[in-house]
Amino acid sequence: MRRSRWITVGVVLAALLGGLWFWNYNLDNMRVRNSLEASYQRALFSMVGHVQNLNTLLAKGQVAQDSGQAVLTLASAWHEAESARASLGQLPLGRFNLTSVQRYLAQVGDYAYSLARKLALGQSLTERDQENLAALAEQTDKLNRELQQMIGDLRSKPNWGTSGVTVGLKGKPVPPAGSIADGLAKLDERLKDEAPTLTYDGPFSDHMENIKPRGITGEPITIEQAGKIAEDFVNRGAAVKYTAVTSRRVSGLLPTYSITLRPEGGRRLPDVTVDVTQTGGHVVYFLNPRPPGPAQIDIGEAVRRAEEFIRARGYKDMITTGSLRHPNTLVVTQAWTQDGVVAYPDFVKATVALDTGEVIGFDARGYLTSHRRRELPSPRFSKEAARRKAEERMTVDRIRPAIIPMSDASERYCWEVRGRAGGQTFLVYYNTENGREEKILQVIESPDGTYTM
Amino acid sequence: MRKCETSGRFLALVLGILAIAALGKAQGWWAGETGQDLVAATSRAAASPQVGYPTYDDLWLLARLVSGEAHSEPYVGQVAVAAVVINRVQNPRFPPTVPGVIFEPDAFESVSNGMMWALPPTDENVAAAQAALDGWDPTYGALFFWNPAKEVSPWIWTRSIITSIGRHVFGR
Repeated sequence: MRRSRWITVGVVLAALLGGLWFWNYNLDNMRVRNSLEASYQRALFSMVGHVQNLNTLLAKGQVAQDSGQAVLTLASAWHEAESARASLGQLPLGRFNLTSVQRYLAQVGDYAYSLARKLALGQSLTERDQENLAALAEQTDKLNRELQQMIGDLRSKPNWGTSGVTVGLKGKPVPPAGSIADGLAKLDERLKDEAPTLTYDGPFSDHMENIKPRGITGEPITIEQAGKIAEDFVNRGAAVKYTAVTSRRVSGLLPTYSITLRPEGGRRLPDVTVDVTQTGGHVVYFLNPRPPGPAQIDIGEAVRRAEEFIRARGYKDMITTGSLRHPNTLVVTQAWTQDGVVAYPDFVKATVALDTGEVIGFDARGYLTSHRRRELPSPRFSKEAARRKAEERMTVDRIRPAIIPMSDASERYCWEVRGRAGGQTFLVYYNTENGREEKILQVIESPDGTYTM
Repeated sequence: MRKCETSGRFLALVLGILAIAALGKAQGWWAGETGQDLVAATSRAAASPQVGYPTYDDLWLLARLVSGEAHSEPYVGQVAVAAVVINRVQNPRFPPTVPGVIFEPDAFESVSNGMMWALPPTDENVAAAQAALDGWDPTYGALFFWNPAKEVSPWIWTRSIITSIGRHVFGR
């Protein structure tokens, strides 16, 4: 009797506790779902709001007459486009790969920014610029209307379209009709076809998608030849000899053979990788994945080892432009000099293991992408003029000619002025043609090396 | 009765230990994060604060993603996964920051299923993320990767294939 009563009490208690737990669990679940829903809602409505603002700003940008007003309007348009893009990237649409809306917003913003910069530098907009701006404004107006329509049609919590997905043409995932994903997929399709092609001086310009590597010279090579080149590259002056064991064809923006090499004599060292271009047989990357032990050698010695490694592999007229220290490695950057002019785009990097001083990484992609002999006109803005201009703001330490890369992969031939102001070091670049201040970099000198921001 | 009491105490003890353990985990008392101090040592914004460039502060997140997506892949395959993230950051079709790309909903399996947080990144994962940030891209511009052995959207095979490394196919 007593025993069975205890059992009853136990069962009732367990049921109560279980019920309580389940109720609580459900409540938690609901809270999580609602907060997720809230973050999606915030993203959707923020995106629509930013596109609306963008639309207004682009319309104003076309009317603005004074460059001051136009700069403010266009710079704000850039900000709104970027904000819209950030919100779009938070919607639960990852699997639908709706990249055309993203790309469109990125380009509109970037383009508006490039026009703002042009005006800020005292230039005026060309007829072509005005036409592009008008085309983008028209397209954005359409996008804005469609988004407003989509939001306006919502009568309850939106169906995001993440369930009930079917497979369509070319295996593309198709969201259920009437869902948010469906609406945006249609916008995406339309923008893919209708968005204007834009070539301008910004990082998202259409010409950036397929830049031809300029440093690649020579004839196509075979995969066997690539193996020999890789062996020669790794074994030059090395204590341990490596043999090519496997190779892989890589058909990317810079077509290469990727060669894996194994140390001889069954040493307990990892395999290393060397990538060799299919044209000309240039080594793009070398990598030894050996984890370096605690640092033993000093930075100066490591820089010398890197310089020696690069020189031994046939690079001439290179100077060290910076180094960056990670816990047990040092990445040294060298750039090519053309008759004393530093060509920053033509850079190679060597990674030194600070335990033994061995070079365990090499990267020539920058060099191979941009290297060539350039036509350098004699400066119309003199070195002395550069010094005078710089001295108004800082104490000048050094002036040298340099070719610098811009964000659209174009280059400027400048005077590089290194100077100090307010206890900090800067690199200021004046165009050798007209003295325009093209770029300002702050130099950070830390125990870990020198780098710029 | 006595027996009941003992087991009750035992239960309370177990529950207590579990509660303390859970609290400890929440407070991070025993979360063995090997990546953390490495990040502190290298964290700096080396890239300019412009649209579409990764910064060194992204190392930790990248290493996490590598551990979730490619923990059993060869080293080059780990770098390749990190390089895809960086290629996306620089491409107008994807969000312009490393966290933006990694946490784009449904973009990466290991973010959706939580594998990204399952294991602390190994030194190798961190080194792979670092190599990608230093500019090594074994995929030469890939924007997608997938594991053909798993269930993937058939659409992904319409991408132009660049190469395959370990168990992953890389495409653009």
